[in-house]
Amino acid sequence: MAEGILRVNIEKGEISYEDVPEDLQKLGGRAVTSSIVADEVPSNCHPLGPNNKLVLAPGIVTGTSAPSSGRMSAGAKSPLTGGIKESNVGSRFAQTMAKLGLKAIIVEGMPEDGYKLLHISQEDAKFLDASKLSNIGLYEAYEKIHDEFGDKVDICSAGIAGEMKASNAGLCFNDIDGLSSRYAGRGGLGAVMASRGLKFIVLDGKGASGVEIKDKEMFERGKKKLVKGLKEHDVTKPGGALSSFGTNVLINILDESGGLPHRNFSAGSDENAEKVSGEKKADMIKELGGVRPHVCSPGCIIQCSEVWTKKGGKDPVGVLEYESVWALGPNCGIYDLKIIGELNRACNDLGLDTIEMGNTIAVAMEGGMLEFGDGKGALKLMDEIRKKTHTGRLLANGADLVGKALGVYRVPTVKGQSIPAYDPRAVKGIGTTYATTTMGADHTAGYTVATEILSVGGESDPLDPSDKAELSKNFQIHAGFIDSSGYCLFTTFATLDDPETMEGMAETIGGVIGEEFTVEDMEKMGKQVLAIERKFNKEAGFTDKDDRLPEFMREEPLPPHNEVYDVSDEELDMIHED
Amino acid sequence: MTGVTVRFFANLREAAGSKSVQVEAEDVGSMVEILIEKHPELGDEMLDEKGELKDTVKIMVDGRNIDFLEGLHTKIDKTKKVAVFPLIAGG
Repeated sequence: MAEGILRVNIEKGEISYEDVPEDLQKLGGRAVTSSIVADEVPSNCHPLGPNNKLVLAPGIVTGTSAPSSGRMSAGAKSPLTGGIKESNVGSRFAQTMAKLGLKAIIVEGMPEDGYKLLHISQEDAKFLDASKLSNIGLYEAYEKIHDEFGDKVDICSAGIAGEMKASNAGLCFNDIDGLSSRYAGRGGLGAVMASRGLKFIVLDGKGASGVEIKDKEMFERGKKKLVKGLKEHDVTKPGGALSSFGTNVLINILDESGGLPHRNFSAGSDENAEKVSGEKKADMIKELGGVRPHVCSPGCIIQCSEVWTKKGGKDPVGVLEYESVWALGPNCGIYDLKIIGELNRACNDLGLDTIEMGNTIAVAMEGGMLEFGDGKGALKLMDEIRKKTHTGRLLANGADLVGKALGVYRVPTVKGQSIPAYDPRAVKGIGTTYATTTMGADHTAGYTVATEILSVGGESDPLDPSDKAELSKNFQIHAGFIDSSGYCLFTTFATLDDPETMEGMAETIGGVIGEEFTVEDMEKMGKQVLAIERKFNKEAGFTDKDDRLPEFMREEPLPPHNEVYDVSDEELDMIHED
Repeated sequence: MTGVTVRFFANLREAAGSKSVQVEAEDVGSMVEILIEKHPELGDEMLDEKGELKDTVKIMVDGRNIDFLEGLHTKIDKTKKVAVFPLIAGG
């Protein structure tokens, strides 16, 4: 199958293949989704209405043998932020999609009722009835899909939260064991998919022709350098921190730095953090019978993933990421990994983003709905969502809505999206990214934590506001490229520290597209992506005033450093000036 | 002079043989010397071939990276929280 774009419209019952426009041929991932959304979705449309579209696109090198490249992007106008959204995920789904020759899938139209499953193989694409797979949890649904279509198929889905058209409905993908645990979670894209009448996309990659590499010599040359760099860097190497402890290894260092938010961003450090740390979790996985390390997609050198389970390997959840452990744990005053695992499993099962859900529960706690630390109470709230009660519907729409409903002042959101696991008052560069990215609060959109806390790619004092605008800008540009490339963001830890590894990455891109591609071209691509997204948001009504953190972060000093966020508005506004 | 509690994280715990140790030291530089004398396994993890502290080892005093304080000359005492991390990352 030649590379093409698959356009599906359940309302009209149409499925068609289109040639890839020339301007998208050498792009991938976020560059493709944001370009198509900007071209085809009216910026002022209602995110759940007939004019919004869901766009999926694998990265440029996804589906090749390039290491740690099983990433893809999902894009649309976000029901949560009201702006353009790109949510990125690592899953074998991305690789299969690329191998099937699918540059993008565009889902459009708004049928009156019912849900379909879109089945795509090398031979054809067709709609199947999904009514029996609706209104059930995704773990069960994935088992049924694998029973019917084989255990090698890959799945993208919206869960019960998507059926509720909730603003915190994520897009769920399978891990390599078929669990519903990999998420393009942020921004409510599950609601966009479900409101198009689509519940599942199932890919059967049998006989797929694979990804064309136009200059194999250049690709192999670059791959060799990149593999060497990833295998040698202390963070990304086999047996390194990420494969030994997972992303949750960050809990202790962020807590030590005073930047791990506890109890709805009221403290930056707490003596209980160790109880939910990566070190503790790695020990517990051994005791409980889970799996560590693990991969989100085949061909990953870094292997940061895992399978968290109950005792005896029962009720596998999938990975407990740093962000998820923090959001559902310390941010809610919960320091019990078993409870956090149950909360994470509920999120995965219902189709909810863990960051938004954890913040929502924390805001509900602050608003008096339950006490901080009440893990059982938090699980009951998840049941409210499962039952689709009015309380559940409120909770599934995120921290901003719940904060308003309960009269809470300390609501940690930007552009309606919850702030991740680094407090901007103690890590000021990442606060600058939260404020100014087109995405709403999103750490992956410009991961300055690398230099502020982790000393990767240089060092920047996390409490010093003076260099943070420039730092965030550069990381945002690089994220625009990385999200388009198909490479995992964690490859950045190795590429930032070693120019030859970075050069190797560029050469793999050049090898796939068949022309020279340099480190400077990475920057150009990143800037291009940001400009497209910024224009969309501006036309949707966003102004500089939306590029701000919540007021309490400038007003309330955060212990233990007792700092406020003090990067000036003028500096924030300079980030997107050219 | 009284003992400072030094805490270790990630794979440095294995090298140190425990989560924390007590050290009698006035500044971070002397603390590192004493640590490695008492726990030679830490030498491989913390020092480079020239015997200098590796760039990848991060020492924090009261939640601040010593690179943003006075480096190895940063003063410590029993009231200070001292933590030693290897190079780690996530997200």
